[in-house]
Amino acid sequence: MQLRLEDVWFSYRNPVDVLRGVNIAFSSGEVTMVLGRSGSGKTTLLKVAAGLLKPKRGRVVAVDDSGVELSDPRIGYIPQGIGVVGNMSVLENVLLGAFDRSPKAWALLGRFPREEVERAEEVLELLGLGDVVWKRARELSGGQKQRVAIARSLMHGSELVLADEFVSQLDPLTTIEVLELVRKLRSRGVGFAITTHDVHLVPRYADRVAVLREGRVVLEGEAGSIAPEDLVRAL
Amino acid sequence: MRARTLPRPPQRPPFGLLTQLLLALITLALLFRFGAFDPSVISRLGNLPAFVAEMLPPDPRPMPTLVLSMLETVMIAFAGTTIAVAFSVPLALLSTRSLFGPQVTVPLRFLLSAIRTVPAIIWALIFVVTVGFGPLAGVLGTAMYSTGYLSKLLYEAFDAVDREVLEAARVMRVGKLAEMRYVVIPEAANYILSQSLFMFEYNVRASAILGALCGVVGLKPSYPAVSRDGVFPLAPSLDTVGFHALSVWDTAAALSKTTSSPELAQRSDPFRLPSSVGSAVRLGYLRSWVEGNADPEVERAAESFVRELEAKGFEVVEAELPDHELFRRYWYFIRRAEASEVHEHWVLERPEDYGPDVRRMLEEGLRIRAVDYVRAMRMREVLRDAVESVLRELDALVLPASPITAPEAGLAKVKVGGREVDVYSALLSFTMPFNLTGHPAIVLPYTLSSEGLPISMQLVGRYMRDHELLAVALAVERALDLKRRFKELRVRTSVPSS
Repeated sequence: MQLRLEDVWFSYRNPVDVLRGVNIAFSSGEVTMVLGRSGSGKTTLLKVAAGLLKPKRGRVVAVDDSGVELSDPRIGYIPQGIGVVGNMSVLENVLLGAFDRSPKAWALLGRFPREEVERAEEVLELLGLGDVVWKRARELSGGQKQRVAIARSLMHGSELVLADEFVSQLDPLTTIEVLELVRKLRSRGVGFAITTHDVHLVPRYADRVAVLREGRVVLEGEAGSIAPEDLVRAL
Repeated sequence: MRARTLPRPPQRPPFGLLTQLLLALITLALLFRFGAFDPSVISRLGNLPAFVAEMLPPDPRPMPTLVLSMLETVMIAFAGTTIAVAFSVPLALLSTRSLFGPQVTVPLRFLLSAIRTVPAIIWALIFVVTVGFGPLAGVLGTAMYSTGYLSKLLYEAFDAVDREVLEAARVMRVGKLAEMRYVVIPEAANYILSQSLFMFEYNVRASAILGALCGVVGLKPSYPAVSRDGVFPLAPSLDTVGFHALSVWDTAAALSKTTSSPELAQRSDPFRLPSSVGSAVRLGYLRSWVEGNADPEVERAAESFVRELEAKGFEVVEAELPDHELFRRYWYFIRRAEASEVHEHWVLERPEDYGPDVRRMLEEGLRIRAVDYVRAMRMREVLRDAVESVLRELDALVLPASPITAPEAGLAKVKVGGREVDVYSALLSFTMPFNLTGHPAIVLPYTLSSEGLPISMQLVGRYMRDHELLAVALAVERALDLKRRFKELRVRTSVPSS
């Protein structure tokens, strides 16, 4: 699956355009890192891609591998603050990912199909969260919360996860832990679009990279083909 | 994220020195306006320690009663708050801006604020029309007001739920219900709990007032027993300060704390009132006054009251007094003349400020001759003696409190015993005689009419022997189980909507 942003323009209420004709594509099975300084429009870009904001001009379209447009793409979104529900257990947070395919009335009462619960437990086990299944999400560490957010996207069956400032708040060791996990999931076919300002992470963890400056993509390409110096200069 | 950094406005403390001074000045000016710096107020500050000393040590005797009343208060508040929480959560969700657009939230928020502007006590009164007097009206009134209030507290909390968390769920297209159930409610759960508890606490305080809606026992003490200081006079030689309360016991407590007679204060102390006087009590039923002069339903109620008393071992005999029209005549002269004396200045200077009825009454009063007034005052003594001599053989007189049940508002005339009389004199005709003679009287709720309106019975006791009357009333109330009986009637029966 590929999510394409075609000539996307966006502004909040003020007349300053935050995105000015962005063209970019995020693919499943790939890690794309979007670099940019604060205020370059990274968060807005992800929100538009996630469908939370409507572009003023241009369009966002998801297509499958043969180029056919998808009406209901499986996309996950992890906001900068991670977006897990602090007052719910880790398991409930993850099961929310299965909500749209579970019987609604039961799910609203907190009852999910047995196979979904088992699947959620497997996913949590896979992400090393097997011990905290029943803990409240707010009691977790930053790295654990990130993994809960990823688990939820996996549960949801997201082919592409849009993660805003994904690792910015983590310490260097946890950052590497989480990104190793991302790489593992990428090999299973999940795509990630991660915004960051940490150039240093690109060579090891990104497949593609794009630099956003003042609402425009000023540099884009395969991570291996762009020298870090060029990235820094573009920023 | 901002496109570019804007220069920040210069930091200013939220309350500058000037603002603080201004606030202090306004407050001082208001205190001055309310008379806080009046020398007399300051000189009376010394009363404070005395007042506090009065309260210490607390009197343990009323505790059982207080605990029971408090329990009812807490139950009203609990039921009302629980209902309110059940309604507030969905209403608040519908008013949350991050879930619904302005076409839903704006009218709903307006409705909630409209509910809030009506105080709980008024809501309770509105519910009295549908469910009748009693704790249920209090519960519903509390629930209504609390719904308006709590919904606001909750939607503020829901609005404050981290937008990002909601967005993460929204991207997965879980739908609004799941957004509420799995994001907004859990994220705001602590607020829902704390605000609901706050609301409960608030309601416990508020329903202390609502419970009093059930008050129906009325005591008119002997004329000089309670000081009239601070009461604006209508007719000074008739004006009596009395009490409405839930039970005889409560009126006794009120009297013992307010009477200016040290003897009465001691003797009407409800803890000193004899708990059983039953078999020795002799009551005089004023049949000649009631028969043919009251609504048949009231008359039947009075007869059955008497029969019940007899069945409980009270001795009830027939008592005779001069015709109550005689009482009315002298009462009329005194009331009119004294009221017109009090109002003379205003009724001459600003007659248009009075309602037409009152104005006519006061103007008539100005024309009453001194001879008539003096004679009325003398005859009043004669009538007082007549009542006293009847009561020498009796512990109390028995008669209905009023020959009619509560009339429709605005009605001017009613039919009593086949005659048309004006509502005002009909309502007063059984209480006015003892107002004239100054005898203590107590009114007890007895039953309800076929229309659901209360019918009360009156007991009249010896002059300045209020404590004896209270003891008899207490015995009657207990023997006939009036407190419980009337409470049940009030809850079951609704006030007709006409």
